[in-house]
Amino acid sequence: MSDVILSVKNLSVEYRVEEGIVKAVNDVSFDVKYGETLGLVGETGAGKTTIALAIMGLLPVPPAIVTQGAISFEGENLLRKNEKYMRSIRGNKISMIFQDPMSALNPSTYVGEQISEVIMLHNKVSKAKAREMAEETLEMVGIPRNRYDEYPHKFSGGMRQRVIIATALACNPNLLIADEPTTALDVTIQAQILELMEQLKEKKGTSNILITHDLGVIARMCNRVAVIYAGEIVEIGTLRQVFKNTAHPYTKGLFDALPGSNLSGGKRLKPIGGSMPDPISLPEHCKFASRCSRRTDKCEQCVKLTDIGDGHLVRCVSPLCGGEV
Amino acid sequence: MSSSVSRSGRKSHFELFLRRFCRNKLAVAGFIFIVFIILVAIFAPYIAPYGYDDQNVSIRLQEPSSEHWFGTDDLGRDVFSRMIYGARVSLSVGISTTTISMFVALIIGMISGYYGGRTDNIIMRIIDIFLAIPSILLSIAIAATLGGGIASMLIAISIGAVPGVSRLIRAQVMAECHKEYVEAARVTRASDFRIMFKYIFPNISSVFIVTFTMGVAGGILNASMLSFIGLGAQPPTPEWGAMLSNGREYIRDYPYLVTYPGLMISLTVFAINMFGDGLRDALDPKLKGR
Amino acid sequence: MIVVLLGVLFIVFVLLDFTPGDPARQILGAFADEKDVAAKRQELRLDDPFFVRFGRYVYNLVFHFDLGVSYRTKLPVMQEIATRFPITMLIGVLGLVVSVVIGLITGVISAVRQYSWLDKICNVFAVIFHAMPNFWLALELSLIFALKLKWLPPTGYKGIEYLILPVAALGLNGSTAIFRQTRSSMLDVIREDYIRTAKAKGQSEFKIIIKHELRNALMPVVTMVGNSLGTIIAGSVVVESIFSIPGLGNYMLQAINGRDYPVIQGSVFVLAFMICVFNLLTDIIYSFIDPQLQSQYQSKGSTRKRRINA
Repeated sequence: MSDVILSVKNLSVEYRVEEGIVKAVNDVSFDVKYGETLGLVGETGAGKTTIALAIMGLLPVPPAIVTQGAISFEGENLLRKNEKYMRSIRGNKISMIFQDPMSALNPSTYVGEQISEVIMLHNKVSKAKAREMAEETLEMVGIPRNRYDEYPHKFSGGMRQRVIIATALACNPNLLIADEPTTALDVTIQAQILELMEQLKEKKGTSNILITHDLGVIARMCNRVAVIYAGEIVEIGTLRQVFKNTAHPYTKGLFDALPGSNLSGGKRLKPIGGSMPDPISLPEHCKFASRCSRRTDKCEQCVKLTDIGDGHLVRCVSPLCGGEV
Repeated sequence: MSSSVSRSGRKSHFELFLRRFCRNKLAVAGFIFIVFIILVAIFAPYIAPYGYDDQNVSIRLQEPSSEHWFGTDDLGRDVFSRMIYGARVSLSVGISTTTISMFVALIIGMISGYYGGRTDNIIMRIIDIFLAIPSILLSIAIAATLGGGIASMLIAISIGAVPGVSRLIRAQVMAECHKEYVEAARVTRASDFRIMFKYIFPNISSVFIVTFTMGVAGGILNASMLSFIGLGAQPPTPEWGAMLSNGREYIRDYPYLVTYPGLMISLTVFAINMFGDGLRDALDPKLKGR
Repeated sequence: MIVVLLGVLFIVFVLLDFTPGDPARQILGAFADEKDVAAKRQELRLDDPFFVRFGRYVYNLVFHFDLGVSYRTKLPVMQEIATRFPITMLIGVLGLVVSVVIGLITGVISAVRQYSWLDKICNVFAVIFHAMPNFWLALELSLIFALKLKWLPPTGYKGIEYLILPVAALGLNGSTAIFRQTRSSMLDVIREDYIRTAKAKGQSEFKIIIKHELRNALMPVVTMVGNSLGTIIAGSVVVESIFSIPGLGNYMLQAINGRDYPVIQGSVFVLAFMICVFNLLTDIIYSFIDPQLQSQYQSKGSTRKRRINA
């Protein structure tokens, strides 16, 4: 499929630690098309960041091991590439921005220089030209170019995140992975940053993978959504499919848990009882079963992803369709 | 599934600590060595084949042999026995100086860190003055003033250690004071003294314990240096540093007089350091878990 | 800093005052006549109140560079110190350089390759050299390299090669503290988020170490280096004695053995003074490296040194 920029197939990642083997990502597959934004939704610890780090080749390899799978980017399997190749990709073809802007910038270097650094890493340009380009990028994210020579501690959280976005986009990557980019920011700043990201997406046509646990952000920014639970994709489809025809009980539970959602009756919040299974000892059968209100004996088997229409996939033996409970 | 389901808080904390500690083989080895040395020190009269001052000039300066495992020194004394008794001196000096200095430093650090403001400023100025002189130099100066001998060595080393440790404890106390449980305690009108010792101290106790352990090692090193110079243990007291000083003249032909005592100091300090490091690593994650 | 120096002087003077024995008698000798001793006491104005004598001491030091007179040689202490002081400084600085070089390199290697065998070896060496008393290390080095292998001269000071062993002993001993601090700082920095950002930009590991990690990790190390000079100089006291190097440390040691108190206290003061000056230099360097302090100065437009809290 030539309209696909990134294709993850059967990716599994484990962490070997003292207490045992943590199965962080289990047989995950998804595609990202050119120009589209895919949202990865899930609780903390579901494995979303691990997937992103695996794509970037930034997994801490002594504890982490990719036990199976392929990550195909522009036709090449990234998992088989050496470090030198990956370094040429990072910041250049695929960029990643992380959660906490307060600590993501080097405190002892000028902000502008940190952008110039990535430009010079991937382009043969002079220092002056790189500076020029970096200043343009600063303006693009709404920071006056004369703030190039300032240290990060002079910037607020929102501004730092802008700088980080600038750094990520400076070399015009084809794919941007954003890991909880607005979680650490105030609500009003969140809105600003999201708006900036939308504008840039339109302007540059970058494909995005947006990782978050905030459904509101997903609704605003994404074309397609994948719901991750205990290292697996439990539901994946277009925004409309997942939001309007929610199929998996877990996804439904996420929506129900939102304060102010109609289905919760407006008074008490409806949390999902229990907690995610211990990733060291994951059950073979449906991993959500222990918390699912619709659980039956059929759930004791290993459940695969099934297509319930138009590319809307769900991992459940009795999916909800059309909002029925 | 992890088997340590917490029963009562205190018990499982200690078990966790013990398990983490035991994973560190060097630390365990250090601990065993320390116990060994302590036992040697306590039972010295029973273990040592000779007295520490049994002079016999006719057998002076003999190489290590089956009768004298580490040879004899310039006065015919058995080096092995002297080293065993030396353990007593070194350990007791190390432990006592550290106890005194930690106690004093704790009080200073607590008061300075807890009350802050002018009190802190004044105290820290004074401490800074003392810190301007390296602790060993200070100890040397004090010991020289007091005339040498074990008592003055004790005082000198204790005083020398106080400024540095005070600063450390003050930093820890100040860090704790910013935490909310201290504010909560203040709100309940607990007395300052009570807050300091019932609330703050337990939370800095692991730093305290580790610093104490390392302090003993430092005390032993400083004692050996002072004795080497001639300001510490006086003859015939068998202190390892003093033995080194004694053997120095004969180093060309009888190197064992220098090598063995030095090795002993190094091994002991090494063991204590390993143990202290292991303690720190085992206690630290626990602190983080809070 | 003036306050600190005054304080040091005060301590030194108090110690001097506490020493047993009568200074007048020390100068004149044990067999001197009672009347002569009394006259000497008058001459030295030894019965004046404490602070008057202290004031005089400070005055003598600051305006006349006079630290008193040696009991033993009857020569002015300052003069004797002045001739020996440069040698001690030389050994001290060289020792510091050696320990910084060794400490930094091993610290970085250890942190960047944590848990590897390189890390383990560095750690083992650091702990071994830390546990050794520096005088024993000096003796053993002397034994192996000078007496047995005969590669280097054992004692004396007739050329730069005579300094190799003492500097090695001090440097090896001092490197452990710097190793520990570098390793610890680097490990902290490696864990920081901005290192992850740098990796995500595609930066190579070597450049990350130099540009990002070291720049930020170096700050606590600089402070530590300042402290290290103190320990090294204190160590040189014994090391000079072992290698018979005519430096200040050796002089002080001889004075200790001879109970020559003015010399002891004077030496302590001079050493402390140099260490203070060095610490001041370190603080200044620190203020140039730390970006937050830098911008504070820029905005305030002044160059007043700011105390960095422990």
